[in-house]
Amino acid sequence: MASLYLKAALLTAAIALLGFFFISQLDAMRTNEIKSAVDELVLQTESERQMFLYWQVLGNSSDELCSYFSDTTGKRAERTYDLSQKISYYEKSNIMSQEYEMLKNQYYVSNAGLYLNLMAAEKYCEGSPYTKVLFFYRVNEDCPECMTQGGVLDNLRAAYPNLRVFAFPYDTNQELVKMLVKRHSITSAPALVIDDREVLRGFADFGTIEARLKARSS
Amino acid sequence: MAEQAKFRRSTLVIPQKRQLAILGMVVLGIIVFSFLTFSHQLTFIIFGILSIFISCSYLVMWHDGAKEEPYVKEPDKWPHVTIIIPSFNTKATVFDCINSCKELEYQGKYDILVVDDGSTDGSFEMLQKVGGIGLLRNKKNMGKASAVNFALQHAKGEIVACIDSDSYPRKDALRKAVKHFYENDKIASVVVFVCVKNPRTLLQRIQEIEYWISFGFFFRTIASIDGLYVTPGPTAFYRKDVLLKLGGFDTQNLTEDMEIALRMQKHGYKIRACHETVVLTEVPSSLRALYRQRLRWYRGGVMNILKYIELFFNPKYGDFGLFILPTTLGSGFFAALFMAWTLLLLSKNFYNWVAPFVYSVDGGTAAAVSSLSSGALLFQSAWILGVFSLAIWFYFLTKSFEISHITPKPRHILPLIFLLFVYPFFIGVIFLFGYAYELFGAKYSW
Repeated sequence: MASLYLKAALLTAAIALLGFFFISQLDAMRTNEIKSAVDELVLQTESERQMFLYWQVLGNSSDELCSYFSDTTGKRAERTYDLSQKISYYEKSNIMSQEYEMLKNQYYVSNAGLYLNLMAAEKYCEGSPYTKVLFFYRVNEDCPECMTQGGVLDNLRAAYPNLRVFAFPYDTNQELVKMLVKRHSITSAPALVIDDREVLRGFADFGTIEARLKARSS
Repeated sequence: MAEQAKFRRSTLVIPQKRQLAILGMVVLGIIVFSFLTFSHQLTFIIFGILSIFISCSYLVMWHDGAKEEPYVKEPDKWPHVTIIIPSFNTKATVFDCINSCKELEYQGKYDILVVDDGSTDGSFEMLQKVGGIGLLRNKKNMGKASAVNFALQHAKGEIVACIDSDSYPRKDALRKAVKHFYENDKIASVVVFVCVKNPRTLLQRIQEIEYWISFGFFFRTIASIDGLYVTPGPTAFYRKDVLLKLGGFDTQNLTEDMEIALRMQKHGYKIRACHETVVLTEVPSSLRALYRQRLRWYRGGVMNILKYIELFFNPKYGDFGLFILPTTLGSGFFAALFMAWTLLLLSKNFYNWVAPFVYSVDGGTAAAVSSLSSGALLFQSAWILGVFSLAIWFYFLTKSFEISHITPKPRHILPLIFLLFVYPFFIGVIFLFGYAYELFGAKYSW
């Protein structure tokens, strides 16, 4: 009764095809969600960069630039660990995820751009109201400490509205991120860098970070 | 079901145990290898496609041969049938069983032969007062198989019907089942549709649906390609001369009803299924009783897999060896494999969920909240194949309801949910226990 198995195989192939069609739809849905979030971030960074160029080339006073930066950049930089978490969750859930490498790199670069823009604003605008924290996590292996660290930072952001967190994997090949990693000699995750100076290695709880923040502001 | 089997031990000898151990190690090896090598999505896809293929094969079988109840001509001369009822300490049920046997409608002659298997509850004395039956007695409790073998020596009928003392055939059982023997002379056994008698507890209602699916849909489908691998104890009809020629039931086997079916298959006999009639049987009402029943089934299953291992994947036995045996009897290993893999995956994820709380409760909570808020689409893509698998399974379910002449009602929903999501784990665990017990040769007792 070879025909039985032949029929069954054909039916299986048809079902599998239909299944893969739905899989590709679901995958695309998720990819699109990430894509639009990353696009928004890219646009933000890009417009800030142009603003900066405008000020360098045509501007007379730094007031215009500074007010823009402290309003917009500060607000938009709130996207932090969440988006990167989402990217890695979605990447795991998807089957057809070739696009993710590209999206991740775009995200890292824009995020770093946002961080640098905020630093630049601080440099040219006589200080900034924001405390910037770089948060290095790990992507190539499971990292429950990093998840907890992300949660602690979420709590801190709720308590300190002027805290801005920028999350990066320390084990990526993206050049810009690698430069940041090298600059602070990060070799393990999680690690935090507060305002480009103070480095906290290993998991830091709410109290530890809070104490550092208070010491800085006084 | 109610027989005593204290004296039965695993009959496996050392080389068989070695085979069993090797089989187990191969399965374990596959799990660990696939867990470490493939992403869980890929493993799920492989499992999914394999299980869809198996389901589709049953689907095709159903459509090509089992959809219609086959028309079978009634014989010119109805044979003499002897009904054999083995009884051990069954005074609660055996009299009802005898009564329903007495009420059978049959054009030919039939007689009832009760074998008391050394009862100690006084049921033998009570049986002596019952008129219209033949009564035999084993002085010592020897187990169901030897009781039936003993009765075979005294059976007058050309056809024997073995009926468990806690099962109640419907009035037309003889008339409907016996005619199947005369379709061709290779047919050595006819099984009928086993259904659950009067389900009360949730556990019994789960089993009710399970019986509709397995004894209804699957038995009919499997029988359509002559693939039945068990002649269920509650009620099965046999040609007496074939039973005697094959040496009767195996008295050392835990599931002698499976053993005899496999022996018949091995010797080229055919087994038919008759769904025009039903036999109602009592099923365990407590988890403990169900555990014992299934442990016996699966230990017997493992025992018989080894006894008839040469039939597996053997083209000589056609569809039965190549497809039916591996996907039914062998499916325990498949199920255990998938269950172990799922548990490994869950425990790994569980570690990822729990570990953050170890570092900081607040931080862990915040991390959990944020991962849940982005988790609306965490549905893994590969699970879509699982959904298709489930859809085919639901199709089988509707067919099972049709065969059973049951209209689905809201009261079936809860048992169905259990049957789908909880029961497989229960069964998988018992299968693993059954395997371990056979491997280490533990004594079997009720």
